[in-house]
Amino acid sequence: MIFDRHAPGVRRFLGDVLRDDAAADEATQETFVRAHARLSTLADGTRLTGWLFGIARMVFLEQIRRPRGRSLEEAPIEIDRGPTPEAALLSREADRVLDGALLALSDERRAALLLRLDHGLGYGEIAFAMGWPLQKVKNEIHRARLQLRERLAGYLEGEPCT
Amino acid sequence: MHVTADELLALLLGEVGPARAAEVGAHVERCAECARELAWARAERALIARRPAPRADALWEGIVARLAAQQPTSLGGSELSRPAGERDPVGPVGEGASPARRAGPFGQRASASPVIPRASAVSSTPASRRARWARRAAAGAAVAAAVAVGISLRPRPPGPVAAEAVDEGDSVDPRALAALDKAEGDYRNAAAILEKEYEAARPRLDPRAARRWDASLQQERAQLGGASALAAKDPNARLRVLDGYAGYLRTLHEVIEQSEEAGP
Repeated sequence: MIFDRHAPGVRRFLGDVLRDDAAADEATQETFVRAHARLSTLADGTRLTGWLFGIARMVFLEQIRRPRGRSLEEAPIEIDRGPTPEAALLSREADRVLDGALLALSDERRAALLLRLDHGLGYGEIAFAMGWPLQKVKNEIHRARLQLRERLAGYLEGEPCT
Repeated sequence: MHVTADELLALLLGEVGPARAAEVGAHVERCAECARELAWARAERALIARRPAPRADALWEGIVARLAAQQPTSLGGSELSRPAGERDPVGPVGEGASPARRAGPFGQRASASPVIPRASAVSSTPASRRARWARRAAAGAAVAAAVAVGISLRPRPPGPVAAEAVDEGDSVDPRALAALDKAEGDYRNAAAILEKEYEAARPRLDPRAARRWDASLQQERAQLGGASALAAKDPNARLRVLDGYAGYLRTLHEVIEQSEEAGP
């Protein structure tokens, strides 16, 4: 019941943040094993989705303990205000650009963005899942969207996207 | 006045009420900037949502294997093999119970490892035999609880209903309810055994301490009775009742140990 309904979303989320299918499979299993053990601690009124993603987030943080070389540019991002042809975005090439854009985000920022855009969680649920204050959730998602848009806008203008 | 990017995204995600959605829609029609922002949000969402969905159903077998591997540990592991003299903190039953008491570092269910007097500590007395029976009953309850949780987490077989949006609590597998009934029955049996033990041990306690224990145990029993009645067929509530029973057994165990320390 719970697995049936939530496992695809949890697996997709973990695949997006871990970027490794085997690791995502492993982390999904670990998430549900922990969910099984903690089911009794789920307070009444807590939404199961946010709670499960919170466990998934802890599992992925444990998996990425090894330091990564990626660093983020926190400077204000200038967004190009040119045209936004949605048809051009929805091409196969756009998938590759999107993948690169998501990869350029920090793990935590990418997680927060995907919980919002891909899984449709509200800010409160994301705050619960990420263990962040509400304002940080809003800031991180806002910045993530700006970064994403910068990449996608570059693609639309024919600039090489790395 | 422009609409915020957050609200435009919320509109796309269906989180904005109909009246406000109409207002925003009307504004977007006459505001190029907000229309652009909405177009971006729509494109972001569409790009992200259209990525292929990974299959997760094959992962269930691995989860079952891990749960099975954990089971012997939870029944005969750290709680039951704890060195004599170490005790769990004892607090109120139910929602107020401390997380440490309700679940271990990785959330191991309290109901899967109740603290019952170890046979080695009371090896040759009638009390020790009662304690062993109580431990067997509680271990049985732990198995039944684990089975109930396993059933409630198991994927449904594919079929017409599986594709529907089914939320937790919509339906409860009768096998899960049967396992929960069995677990609660086992816990009640274990509690009855230890309550008799307590009655025998009570005269050894300081009278004021005995009255305090009486009040504490009575309160826990009342809370358990109320929680059990309210839980009905809600599996999560039923599991919390089992946690309450595990805590109640700990309290009984603690007071019996205290009476033994008080002397003959």
